[in-house]
Amino acid sequence: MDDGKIKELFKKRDADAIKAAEAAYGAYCRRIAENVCRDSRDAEECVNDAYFAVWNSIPPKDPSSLKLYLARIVRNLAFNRYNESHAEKRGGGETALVLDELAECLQSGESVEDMADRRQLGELIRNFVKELPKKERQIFVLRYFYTESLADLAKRFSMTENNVSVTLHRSRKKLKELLIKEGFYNG
Amino acid sequence: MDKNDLYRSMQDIDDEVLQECEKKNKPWIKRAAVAACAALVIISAVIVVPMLTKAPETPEQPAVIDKDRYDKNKTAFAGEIAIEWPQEYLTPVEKYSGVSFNGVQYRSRANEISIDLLEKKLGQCDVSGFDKKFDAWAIKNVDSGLLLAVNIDGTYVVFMNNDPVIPTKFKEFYDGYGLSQTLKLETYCDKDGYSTGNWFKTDAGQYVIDVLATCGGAPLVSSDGAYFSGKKGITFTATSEALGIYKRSLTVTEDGYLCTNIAEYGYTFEIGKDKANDIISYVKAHSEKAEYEPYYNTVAGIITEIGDGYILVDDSVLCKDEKDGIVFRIPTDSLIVRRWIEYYHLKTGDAVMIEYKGNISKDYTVNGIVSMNEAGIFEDGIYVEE
Repeated sequence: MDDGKIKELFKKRDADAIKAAEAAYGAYCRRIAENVCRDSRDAEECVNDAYFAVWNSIPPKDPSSLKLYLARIVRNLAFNRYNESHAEKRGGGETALVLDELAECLQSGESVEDMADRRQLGELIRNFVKELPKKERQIFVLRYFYTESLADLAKRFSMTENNVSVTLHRSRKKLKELLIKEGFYNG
Repeated sequence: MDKNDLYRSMQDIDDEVLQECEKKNKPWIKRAAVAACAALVIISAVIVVPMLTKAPETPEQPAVIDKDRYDKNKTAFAGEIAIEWPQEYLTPVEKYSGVSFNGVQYRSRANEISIDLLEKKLGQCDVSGFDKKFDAWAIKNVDSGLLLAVNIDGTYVVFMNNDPVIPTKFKEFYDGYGLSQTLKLETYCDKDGYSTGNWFKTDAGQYVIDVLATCGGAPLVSSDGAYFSGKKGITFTATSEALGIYKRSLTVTEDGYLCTNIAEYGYTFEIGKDKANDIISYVKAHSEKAEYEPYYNTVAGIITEIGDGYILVDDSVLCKDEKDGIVFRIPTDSLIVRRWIEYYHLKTGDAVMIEYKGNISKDYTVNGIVSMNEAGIFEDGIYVEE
């Protein structure tokens, strides 16, 4: 069943909507959740919670892509779960590495809190990503949105892990420069 | 603003950008959890004993490279990554990624195979994106509906069916890939969920293959690896020239499952607790501890000489004491190396990084090179040498 038809089921409050979403996007969502929280039981719960979040929000919401709408919700729930488990020192996994990498964009400067508005930051990221060359953009998004491992990225792009690391390093450097330029913090 | 804010802000990336990331290579989604499992192996697999992938023969015993020579504050990073090599400088594997044979699409596994592992010529295949035909060969013991070898200008490369028939029982998988003949299991690590424990060599690989031969009726319970995560067991490193795979994983879990990405997708079969624990206990009783090694090994340093058929790379720049430096000999018979000299014009004094999956012979010749890159040398995070 395609994305539009599943969305229609949610809109009609059809009880089969969640089943259809699971059939179409279950593996995809679990992949995202497991990448982030590194625990299959937590991931399963995140995915189930995401279906119910979608059930509760469509309608009135009408996302252009149900799949990506789900992806964002799953990622967000999984990151919350990661933060809870991380607080209990259950290990960092790939997300800890990703966060450490992102911290490089911030570490040498002092945060200017009033500028660091969540909405403005989102807009900056959205535009920054669009400006990256295609391959660099895909690597950046797969790493920092989908939390893919360096090994998987290397395999997917037929690159070495070293090359993937260098590409990401360059992207982060550009992002850091943009954050300073746009006044998100003092470099 | 902190790193968590930055991570969360990625949520605002446009749909079209997220979709673009999925278009190029959809199977990453389907490979799912086994890809994660493979990542563990990739990160911490052990390069030991005879490599099963095709690597140049070395008459001598490999040299032992003392890693303690290196200064921990000095690091080499691979540099240029986006070089568009002209066609004549692309390896056969890089040039041709897909073929069509008898109306079935196959994609390259990017690994070469020796002629002696081939069974017979099947006919000609069309090369995707090129007006060319290459000979397609059956691989001994392997179902040609799953894998083929393609003769690309004299180099035989393993290709896999893009959309293979998903097995329902383990027998179809075991026989289809001829695992009794094509797979050797020689190293493994303990596994607890996503964590890997100690690494071991084992001489019980044949025993494992024999037990698996009796698991023919085991049903496939997942083709996306979903059963894999969060389980205890052992993960073998699965390398096979015939199957065109290098350091994939094959996991046997204490609760009775076998999970592997040998076939690309994360197949999980329920072999039962008895068989699984038979394998695990036997293997543990017939193994010895091994050292951790990375997926590929690396040498890096400064080019000191470009000769006829070789370049010399001196790694003393990375050592605590320069006197401990080793001069490695990098053969230029491989296009992967030669193009950096002929087309990119690397010269003496430039820093390079070489990844290899063979070994280093006693005269410090690096064998089985899989990549080469211009490098930057950093000390305490400061760029010191190119």
